[in-house]
Amino acid sequence: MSFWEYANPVKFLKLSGTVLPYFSVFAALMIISGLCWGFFFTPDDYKQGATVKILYVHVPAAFVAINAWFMMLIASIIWLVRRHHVSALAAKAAAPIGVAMTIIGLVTGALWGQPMWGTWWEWDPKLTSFLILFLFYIGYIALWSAVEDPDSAADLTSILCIVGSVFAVLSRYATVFWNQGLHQDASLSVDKEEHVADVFYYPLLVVMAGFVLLFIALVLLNTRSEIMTRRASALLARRKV
Amino acid sequence: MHCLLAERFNMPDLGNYAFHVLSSYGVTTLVIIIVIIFSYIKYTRAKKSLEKIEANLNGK
Repeated sequence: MSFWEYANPVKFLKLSGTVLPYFSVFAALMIISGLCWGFFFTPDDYKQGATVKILYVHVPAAFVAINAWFMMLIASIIWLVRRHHVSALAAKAAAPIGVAMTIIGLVTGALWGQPMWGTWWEWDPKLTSFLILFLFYIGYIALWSAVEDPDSAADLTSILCIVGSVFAVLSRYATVFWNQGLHQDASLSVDKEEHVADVFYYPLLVVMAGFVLLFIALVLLNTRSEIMTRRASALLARRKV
Repeated sequence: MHCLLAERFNMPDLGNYAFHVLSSYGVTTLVIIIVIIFSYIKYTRAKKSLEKIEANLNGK
């Protein structure tokens, strides 16, 4: 059995229909339990006080917002190279979820920044590249809507996705590249010494896993919608002929 | 049981940051609920539309 079998829409619909309920239930369980753990059972930070609780919504949302673009990038490259329609539709399906996560990241970031930095917004490299990523998401969705031929739309949006990935990388690594600005380094790291204290780290991991599962569940649901819409259009076109 | 739960889930003292913390959780919940509802409505519409077209074609 090959991974590419799932480029077949019928097989994709069958598999996604089976796994979707599991992803949804586990996403809900992990998000609710992780947020309750973080909100009710973790102490205040010695520097940031109670605002540290914003960590449990801000970091997972920003993580998904950035990585959703990388998922779209991979799907777009698969479309450009192998011309699998499901991959182009999966990239299209991920965009609204990426927008939602970027909005959460921007708003919760401002709500965290105001009491800690004394400002809602700063033209800091990380914040600015994240805002540009948000604009790329909007542009990506607009481009899909603007081009009538679906294959041409998929080609153009794939190129836009490749260009926009620069800002996804910058959103993630701006603090490393420039080493300036208000935003702190990553809260999570492979190097245990660099990330947040364990008492905040474990609930954060649970919420992040929940956000990732939610993202996968929503991408599967939206891709199913896109496949069905595409099939409906094809049947209508065939009937007209 | 009820008292035990209420005791465990005591509202933490957020002090001067209550607005910032609660707004963050509120905005996150709201946006996630909107995106779930939006996705679900889109899915049910696409499914119904496809079923209707397939039924029409099979009827012919």
